[in-house]
Amino acid sequence: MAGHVVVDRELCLGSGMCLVYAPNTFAHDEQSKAIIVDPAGDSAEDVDTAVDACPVGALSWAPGEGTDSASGGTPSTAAHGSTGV
Amino acid sequence: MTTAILDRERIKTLFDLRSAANVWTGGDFEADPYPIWAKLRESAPVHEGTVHKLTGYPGEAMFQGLPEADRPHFSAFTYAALDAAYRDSETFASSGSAVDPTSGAQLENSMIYMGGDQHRRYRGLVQPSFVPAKAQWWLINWIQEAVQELINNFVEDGRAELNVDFCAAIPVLTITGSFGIPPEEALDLRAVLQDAPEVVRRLAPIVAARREEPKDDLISILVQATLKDEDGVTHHLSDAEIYAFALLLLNAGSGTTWKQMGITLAALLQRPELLAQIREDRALLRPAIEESLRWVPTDPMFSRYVTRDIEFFGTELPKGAVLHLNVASANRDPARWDNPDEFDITRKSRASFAFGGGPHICLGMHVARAEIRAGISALLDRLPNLRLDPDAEAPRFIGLYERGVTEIPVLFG
Ligand code: HEM
Ligand code: SF4
Repeated sequence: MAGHVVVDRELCLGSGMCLVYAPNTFAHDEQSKAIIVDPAGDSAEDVDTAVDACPVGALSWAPGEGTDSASGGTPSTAAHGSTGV
Repeated sequence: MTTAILDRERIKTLFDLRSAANVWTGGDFEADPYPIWAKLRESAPVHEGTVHKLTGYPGEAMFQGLPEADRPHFSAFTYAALDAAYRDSETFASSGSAVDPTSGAQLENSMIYMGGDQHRRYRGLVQPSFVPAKAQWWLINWIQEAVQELINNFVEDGRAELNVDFCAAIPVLTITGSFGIPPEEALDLRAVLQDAPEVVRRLAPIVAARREEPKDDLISILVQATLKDEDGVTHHLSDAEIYAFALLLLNAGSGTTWKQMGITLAALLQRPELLAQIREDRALLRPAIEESLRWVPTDPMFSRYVTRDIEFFGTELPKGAVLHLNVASANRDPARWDNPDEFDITRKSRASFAFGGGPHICLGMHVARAEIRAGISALLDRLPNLRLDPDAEAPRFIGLYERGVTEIPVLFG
C-alpha cells in the first residue's frame, strides 16, 4: 500500500466517496472524475480509507515517490510527505 | 412564508411509518432485528430465503427485488459477502431484465435498474449535480430556507414532534424545489408518488417550460444535458427519460433522508452529553451522521439478480436467483468494526454500506448528508436546551425494509 495513490479515470464514476474520507487529497474535475489535488493533503491512513471506500475500485496504491513500508503493510506517512497520521 | 402551507396532519398520514401507506415495506415491524441478524451472520455469510422470512416477519413485505415469486431467494449478511457482490455487478445485476428507457416514463426505466455502460452513461449525466462541491448549491437554493421555515412553525411553542413536523418535510421540499415545484404542491406530489402517470402529469408543464427557458434548477440541467448512446450518437434526453429520473429521485431521496435524519436525531437526543458536545462543536456532526448511517441505515436491504451459476461464500447460487444484501447486518459485522452494536461517534470513520456500494452507490449521498447536517445544526442554533420530552413516549426504532423512528417528542427553552 505504500507509495502514492492513483485514480483510474475509466473506472471512476464520480461518487465522491474518496472526498468524504480524504477531502484534502481528492477533488473532482469538470467531468466529475476524481483528481489528486494534494498528495500530502491527508494522512496516509485517511487516503487508505478512501482507497477502501471507492465503490468501483478506481483508486489504488502505486509504488514509487517515497515508497516506504516501515510498518509492513500499513500505509506509511513518509510516502506522503510531511503530514503525519 | 413557504411552508405554512405544509399541513401538519397531512404530513402525519403520509409519513407515519405505521400508516397504511407504509405497511407494505414492513412498517408494522417493531421488534429489534439486530440480534436476529447477528445470529444469522454468525451462522453463515449467505442463507437461503428472504430477509423478512429469515427475520421471522409473519407477513409479506415488499422492497426492491421482491416478491419475485418464481425465483429462488438468498440473503447475505457479512461485510465481505456484500462487498464482493456489490463489486461484481456483472454477476449481481440490479434488474432481472434489460432496461429500455425509450419504452415509457416509469421508475422501472431509471438508472437504478440499469447495468454496465448504459448505467454509466445515464449516471454520468447527473453526477456533476450531486458531487460534494455542489452541496452548497443544494443548501442555498433549497435546503436552508425549508429548514428555517419549518422551525418557524413551532419555535414559539416550547415543544414539537420533530420526526414529522421537521425531518419528514425537508427532503421532499429539497427535491421538489430542485424540480421547480412550489412548496404548496410538494405534498400533493408526495401523496401521488406511487401513481407514476400522475407525477408525470404534474411535471410535464415544468419540463416544457424549462425547455423554452432554462433556469438554475435540476430540470433545466436535465433538459440541456446530452447523452451519447451506444453508437456514439449524441442526443438530448427525451421527456420520458427526464420523468423516469425525476421519479427515481422522488422515490430514492425523500423517505430515506427523512428517516435517516430522524434516526440521527433520536440517537443524539437519547445521549444528552453527546448532544451537548455537538452543540459546542458542530464539526462533530459529521462523524455523528456517519455513525448513524452505519448503526441504523434506514434502508437495511437492497437486492441483486444472479446472472450465472456461482458458488458464493459457501452457497450455490443458481442463475436467476435473487440475492438480498442485508446492509444493516454488514454494517455491524465485527470483522470490520469493534463493538459494532455501540453508537460511537469517535470510532475511526470508514465506509459502511448505508449508501450501498458498487456502481449504484447512492447518487444523492452528499445531498442527504447536507440536509441532515443543516437540519440538525439549525435545530441546535434555534432551540436552546433541546431535549426529549420526559412525559411522552420515547422514540422507538421500527420498520423492516424502511427503518425509522416512531416519534421524536421534544421540549426546548
Ligand atoms: C440518508 C439518505 C439516503 C440513503 C440511506 C440512501 C441509500 C441509497 C442506497 C443504499 C442506494 C443503492 C441502491 C442499490 O444498490 O440498488 C441508493 C441509490 C440511489 N439514491 Fe440514495 N439514499 C439516500 C438519499 C438520497 C437522496 C437525497 C437522493 C437524491 C436527491 C438519492 C438518490 C439516489 C439515486 C438516484 C440512486 C440510484 C443510483 C444509481 O443507480 O446509480 N438518495 N441510495
Ligand atoms: S470514490 Fe472512486 S468512483 Fe468515487 S470519486 Fe473517488 S475515485 Fe471516483
